[in-house]
Amino acid sequence: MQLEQLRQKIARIERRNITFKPSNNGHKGVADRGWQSGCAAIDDVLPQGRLAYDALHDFSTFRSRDTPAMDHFVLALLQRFLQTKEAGEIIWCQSHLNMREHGHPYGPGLKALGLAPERLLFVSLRKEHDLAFAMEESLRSGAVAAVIGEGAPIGFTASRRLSIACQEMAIPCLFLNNTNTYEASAAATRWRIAPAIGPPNAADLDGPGMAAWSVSLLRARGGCAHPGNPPSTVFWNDATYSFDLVSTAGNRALADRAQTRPTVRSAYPAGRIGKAV
Amino acid sequence: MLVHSGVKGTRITATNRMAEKAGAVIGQMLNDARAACPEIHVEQGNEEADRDYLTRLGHWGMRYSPMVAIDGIDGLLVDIAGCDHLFGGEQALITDFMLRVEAIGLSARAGLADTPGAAWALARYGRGQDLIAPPNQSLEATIDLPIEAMRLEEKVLLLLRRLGLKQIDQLHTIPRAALERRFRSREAASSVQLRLDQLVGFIREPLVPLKEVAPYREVLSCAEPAIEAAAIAMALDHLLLRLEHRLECEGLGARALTLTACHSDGGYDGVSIVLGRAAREPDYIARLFSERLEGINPGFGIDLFILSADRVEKMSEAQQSLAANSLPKDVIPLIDRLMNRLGVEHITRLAPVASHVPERAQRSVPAIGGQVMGGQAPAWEIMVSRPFRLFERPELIETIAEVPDGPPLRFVWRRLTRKIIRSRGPERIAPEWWREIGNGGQGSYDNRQSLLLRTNARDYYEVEDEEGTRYWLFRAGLYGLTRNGDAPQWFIHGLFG
Repeated sequence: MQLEQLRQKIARIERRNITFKPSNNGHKGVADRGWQSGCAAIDDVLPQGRLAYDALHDFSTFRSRDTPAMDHFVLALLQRFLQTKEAGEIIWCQSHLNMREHGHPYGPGLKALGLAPERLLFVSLRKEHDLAFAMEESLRSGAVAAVIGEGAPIGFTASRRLSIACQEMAIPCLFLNNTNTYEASAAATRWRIAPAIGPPNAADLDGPGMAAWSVSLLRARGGCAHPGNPPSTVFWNDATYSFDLVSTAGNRALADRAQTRPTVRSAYPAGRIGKAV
Repeated sequence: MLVHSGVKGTRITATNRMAEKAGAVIGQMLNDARAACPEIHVEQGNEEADRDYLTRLGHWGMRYSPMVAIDGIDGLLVDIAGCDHLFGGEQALITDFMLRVEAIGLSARAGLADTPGAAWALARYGRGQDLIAPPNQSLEATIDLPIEAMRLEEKVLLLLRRLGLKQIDQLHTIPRAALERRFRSREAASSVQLRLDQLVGFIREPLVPLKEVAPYREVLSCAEPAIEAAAIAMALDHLLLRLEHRLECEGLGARALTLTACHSDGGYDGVSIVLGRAAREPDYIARLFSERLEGINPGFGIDLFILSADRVEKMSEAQQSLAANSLPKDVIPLIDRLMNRLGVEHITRLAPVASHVPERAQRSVPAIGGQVMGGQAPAWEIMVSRPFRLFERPELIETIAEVPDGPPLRFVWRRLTRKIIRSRGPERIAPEWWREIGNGGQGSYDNRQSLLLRTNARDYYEVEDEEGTRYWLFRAGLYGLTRNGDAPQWFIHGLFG
């Protein structure tokens, strides 16, 4: 019990000027305030071992060609989230142009990922600058289970507003930065996703393997993430609907790649930072 | 003075009082008028602009009654039944109207009667100040007017004049059968009868309203013209309260609302909102309007607001207090907010369609009310190898393949070369023959069918590049069977991540 109190105290310190609100249903376990990726390598770095429900999570890629991989990773995380939340709709905001460039979300494919397309609401924006408005409006309404936003970084102030809205409404917000610019953000966790070679598919050894990603957690407020940490390579286990660590042993392609390219990259490459972090 | 240049020369189409004093008459040749008065000022007429302006004026005229119709090129017909008491009687209404129109800078005449025909006659040919016909005395009020006030064709008028019938009373006293015999054509005869009946009110003459009359409508006039946004918001609140009261009495809620602002100088502007579900709560509706109010152009001041519920529905009386705590919050208010700010068609859901052609297997439907009504809605099929993002249009890629009909080894998409290490396929998807029958092909029906299917079939491959990104590619058509003998082209259709 003392440990839990200490954790709460730390959480309070971490959030500084925000009042820490214990859930109004009395004591609740970890599962009630967040959801887990199911992979220890990721969860251990997160505060209290979970992705908080009441926070903004920011995802980005190193290069814009890695955007599909990031989309897939976030959708897989969303699938994990939906395992814990059975009611409510998810609103997905993006600009009209973004849909054209990166493809329109496709129902049969979403269904194959384990997501229910009927629970998704799509907002296609004529103007990119309506993105922050649409996301905040959705959060403030308190009527959706989660909010996804996709587009160029929205700026620090807007991200701060979004995270406050997340905290007050206890709704998670996932932001996908699909440009390769990196801007300051008030997000509770910041991720950088790159595609990786997954283990072969047992049903079809020559075909494409399991979806896999190299995941760097650049920041997890209240957790122990550090930009210098090596990324963990995880794959999506579509039998158990959870993430698993890819072992380099027995995965020839991955082992080769690990040799040819350094796995540890500076998380803040020179010249890529949009504003002071 | 305005003129119109036609094939038979330039004629005068409109004059002002000065021009009339100088002797100009509508329909006269411009040269004749110039000869009489050389210093007359002439402008080219613009019929289209006139019509636009008349329409705008018609909307402005809805301050007097929701039922406004355009009459020809220079008139408005307003049905003020049940509206006059709001202005303090018929005389007061006419006075108010004339004052406002003069303030705009127009010269106008107004007539008022039980029937549109009589009012038209009074407005255009009435003499003196008193242009209001007392109830049930349409004929008496117009009896001494010339027959031009009857809205008849020119050739009918000509004949009547030749017969010496110059006033309505002369026409009215002749027995109908006798009058009919004078005309060579039956149509001309019946048109005279019809106009007479319409004038008296034996035959009802319905107006074609400029705008469909909303059944629920509230009007607020301002003592001082409103310009500021705060004043507009206040007016809206006031109107919403009144509208709510009316709707509540009848158990209705609004699905679409329009706020129209009439300018003191004869213009108008309006904003409309739509609601996902019938509602009448003033706070809720005001919030939907709030951002749109900035878009209202106040002109030189708004002196009248009209709030109309364009669409109403029965509202189910939900037990608000019980539902509020236990259920998750309703998503419809959010959709309403987003729809009215971002546009109705921008908030969508995906609906499955029973089709095996990938781009037809889903469609975007409006977030509210887009569900299939009645019948069996198809369910989402669980299919392997379907991307989660699909391009609206497949994008052409350049490929290098090992064997002609195998999956590519490399491909260039968006100027980046991607090396494929693993692939799965082909999954052959033929077009739906019941949709695409009949272009080209000379053989029997079956042969034509099979050829068409093979030339338009797509072979889909799910491929993974050396970095782990996965794509959905297809080859359009089969080798050796394309229309002009070229190698088939490759496209990227979707992304797996």
